[in-house]
Amino acid sequence: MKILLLLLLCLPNAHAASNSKATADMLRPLLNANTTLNRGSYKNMDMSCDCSIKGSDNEVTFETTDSCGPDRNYLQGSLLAFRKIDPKGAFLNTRPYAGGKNLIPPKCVLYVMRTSFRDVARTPEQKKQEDIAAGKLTAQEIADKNYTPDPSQFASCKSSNGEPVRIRQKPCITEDYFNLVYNSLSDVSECLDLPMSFTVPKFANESGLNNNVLGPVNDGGIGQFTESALKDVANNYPEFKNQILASNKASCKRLRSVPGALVNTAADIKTSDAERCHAIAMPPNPVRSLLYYGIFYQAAKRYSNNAWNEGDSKQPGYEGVDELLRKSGAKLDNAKLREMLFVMGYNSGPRPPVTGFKEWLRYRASLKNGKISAKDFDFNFWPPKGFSAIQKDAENDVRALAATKNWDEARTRREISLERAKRRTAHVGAVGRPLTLPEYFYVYQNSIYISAVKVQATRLDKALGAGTCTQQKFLEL
Amino acid sequence: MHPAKILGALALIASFSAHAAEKVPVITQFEQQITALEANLAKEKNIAKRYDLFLATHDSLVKLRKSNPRQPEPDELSMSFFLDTLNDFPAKKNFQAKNCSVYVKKSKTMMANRNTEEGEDPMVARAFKLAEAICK
Repeated sequence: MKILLLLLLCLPNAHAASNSKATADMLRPLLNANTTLNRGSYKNMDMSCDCSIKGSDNEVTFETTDSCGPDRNYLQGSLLAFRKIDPKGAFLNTRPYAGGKNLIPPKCVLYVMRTSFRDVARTPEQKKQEDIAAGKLTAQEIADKNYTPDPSQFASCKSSNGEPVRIRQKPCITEDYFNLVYNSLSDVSECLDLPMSFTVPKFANESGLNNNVLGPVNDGGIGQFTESALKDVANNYPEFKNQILASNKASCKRLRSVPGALVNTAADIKTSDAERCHAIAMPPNPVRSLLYYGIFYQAAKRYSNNAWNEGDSKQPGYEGVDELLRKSGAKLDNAKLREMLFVMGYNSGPRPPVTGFKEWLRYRASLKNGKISAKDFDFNFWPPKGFSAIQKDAENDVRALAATKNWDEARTRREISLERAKRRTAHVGAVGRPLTLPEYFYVYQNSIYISAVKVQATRLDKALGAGTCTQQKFLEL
Repeated sequence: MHPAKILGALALIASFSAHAAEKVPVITQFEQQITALEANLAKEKNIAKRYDLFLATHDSLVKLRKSNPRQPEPDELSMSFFLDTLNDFPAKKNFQAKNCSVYVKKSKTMMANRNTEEGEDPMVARAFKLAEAICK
């Protein structure tokens, strides 16, 4: 920052005073000079959007170290450290975008990075002031409201294996930082055959493609890894590490050139919450965590397919998904159905979505009017507000009744679950008609995860053009 | 209390009064059999015999479901979650005591919730414990 200040002081006053745009253009290389070397440019790439991001209309733009201010520039030291291990700029420089089956344009990733999360978590007072400015609540309602601070959802790491420290600020989305994320994700997508059109809406729903996100249960890094997910990575690590090492793809070669990105053995993958910096500290992240993500993706896909195909050798006559689908008589795109359950499995584990889907098929088969059609898979479904209140009211009412009837805890829990399901069914307006699959997942499995990813895909389609960043008919039949 | 809430609570009481006269729900019978199995597994020292106990109960649970009409969805899902968690345990002829921990690990890989904020479904958690009790 001191170098930057010195350069600013050396600028000719005439330029600064006469034309602010010209000054900004002139400043740009100087503003960037303290953090980048020999960098390309996105000037000739399509960065257009049907969006407005903090004063920038119809174009997805970068932030600068200057515009972010000191509190959000905390990654600059890490970027310089990355530059030392990447002197040719394989990850930090702009690459020409050539497309390909696994890649999507840079503006998609930049849009997600710029629009996910607030720049700074709000204080209770800031939230109160926002309510006052919005004018939707009365003075009394504002006085009665319990304002709490926004959670601090980003993290700082001093070392590669330590415990992350929560911070309130989102990192500055500079061109360098973006390049590192975009190039790392592109290489992992090419090397491990992950379509970005599939993964980016998912990332948009999780880390927003930020390297140092730290979720409420220490789900950390760009892949939002929990201990359980990191264990999955470790279980599958030897196979995929060998694949990466043996590959002749340029992407794989670049990835394995980053020191520490590929740990030696599965035992070197640190899974505990106290060591979550393993998936956050930069370098070698985001390359390491994106490699883990690629391994997790491929393993999860395999597990999800296994869950779909499996039977139960202990149960003669067991009916699996294919058998239940065949019995339903519906002609559906099974590949698309598998994709939906795979997306949900990321979060819930691979088999529970399949278990839920089988139960839904049995449920529909048990109804007189249960015939299935493509309309039953519309994941544009989103329940109306009020979910928490329903949960709480149902529990309070049943517990009050349980006290008068002397029910034991098991009975009480069951009645709560039945009552909640009943009220949630009414909440989505499905009383007296069969529940669609999204409604069933919401009412009985408390999951709207597929819908949440679908929302992100819709958001990308709307801002950047249908199919630009996502697969055509993503998560729909 | 808001009138709608009072009506809701009254409807709830009426529906539970009707429930009271019904027979023991299938899910309750299902859970009672699991409780009995848990107790028996704790007493049995031989792993092959523990596996026999498990298979006998598993068979009984499957038959219990088949011999009854479809239950309320939360109950059906709970029973399916429990049985599906134990899907990785093979038929008797394929069971190998030395691989018991592999079955447990596979079960957790397939069923454990990656979103630790939500916690595990109670029946999945119970099945995990049962799996460990078989292999202890």
